[in-house]
Amino acid sequence: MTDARDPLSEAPDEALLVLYARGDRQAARALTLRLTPRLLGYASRLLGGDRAEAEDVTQEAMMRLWRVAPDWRQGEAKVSTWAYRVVTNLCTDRLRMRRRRGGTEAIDDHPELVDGAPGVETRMIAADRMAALEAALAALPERQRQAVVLRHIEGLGNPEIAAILEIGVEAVESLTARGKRALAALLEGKRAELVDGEG
Amino acid sequence: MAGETELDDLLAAAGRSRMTPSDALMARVLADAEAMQPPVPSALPERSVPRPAGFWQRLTEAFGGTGALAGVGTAAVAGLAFGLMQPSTLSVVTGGYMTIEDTADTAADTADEALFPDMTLFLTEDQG
Repeated sequence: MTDARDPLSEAPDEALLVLYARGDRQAARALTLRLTPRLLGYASRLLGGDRAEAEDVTQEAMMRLWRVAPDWRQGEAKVSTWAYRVVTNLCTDRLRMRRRRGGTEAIDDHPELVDGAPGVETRMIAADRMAALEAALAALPERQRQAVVLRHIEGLGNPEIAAILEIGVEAVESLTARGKRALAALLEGKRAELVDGEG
Repeated sequence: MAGETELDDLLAAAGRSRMTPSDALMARVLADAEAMQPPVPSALPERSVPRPAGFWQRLTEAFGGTGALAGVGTAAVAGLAFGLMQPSTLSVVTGGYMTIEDTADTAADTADEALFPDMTLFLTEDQG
């Protein structure tokens, strides 16, 4: 259904970027509202839940998008694909630096649920389950984590993930399958806790 | 190992949840967008120098205007048509002065001679 209040809400990302490059401020706002939450969630998961660092990465990715806007080649790549790729690379760099410093990955924080849960108890259980998932995701090898998050949380198709990770579709399928198996194994240790929480 | 359905449900729930960006982050991103936005292209400036006249404009002026140029063009086309017409079609002109037999009797009955008869034909006085 068309949003009568905001004609830009239905516009494709690429159209908004072109409008931005032509001086349209509303297009910048629409694109920011659309992309920032997605990139922030993705960055946060790649960085093991470090929200402050994820915000920095998101801001940097968006800044690069604004910079490239005047030279954007229409039809060559999806804006979101391009942005996810930038976030992936920025997170990879930060994780590499983190490993050099000998730091550990933050796994305590996790995205808060914004879809409504009926009660406090149910919300706590859901939060526990989500925390377990985030912890398991943070423990995955980096490439598997990227593939699993893009496929099963961001809901992207394998060809788009292949473009983001700059690998073949078969490699994406392999990473996703191995990542899910590893995720299931990591969650096994939490299973009793989850069942107890539900009971 | 955790059940696949359970894991899928959990991943799906994670997909439905979205991190809400802080107001500060949104403000920073929008400030960057504004700072890096290319300026709105201004309207094209008025053309202060008249465009140089083109070839056809100069040609028309040289002939005294469009009407005169049309007359010259018509004359040129008519001249070309006369030049290309078959000589035999002009026999209506020459036929009054010489017959086909006259031309056939001459040694050189070429088309040129039929079209341009000998001048003696016009200079001969009537002895009658």
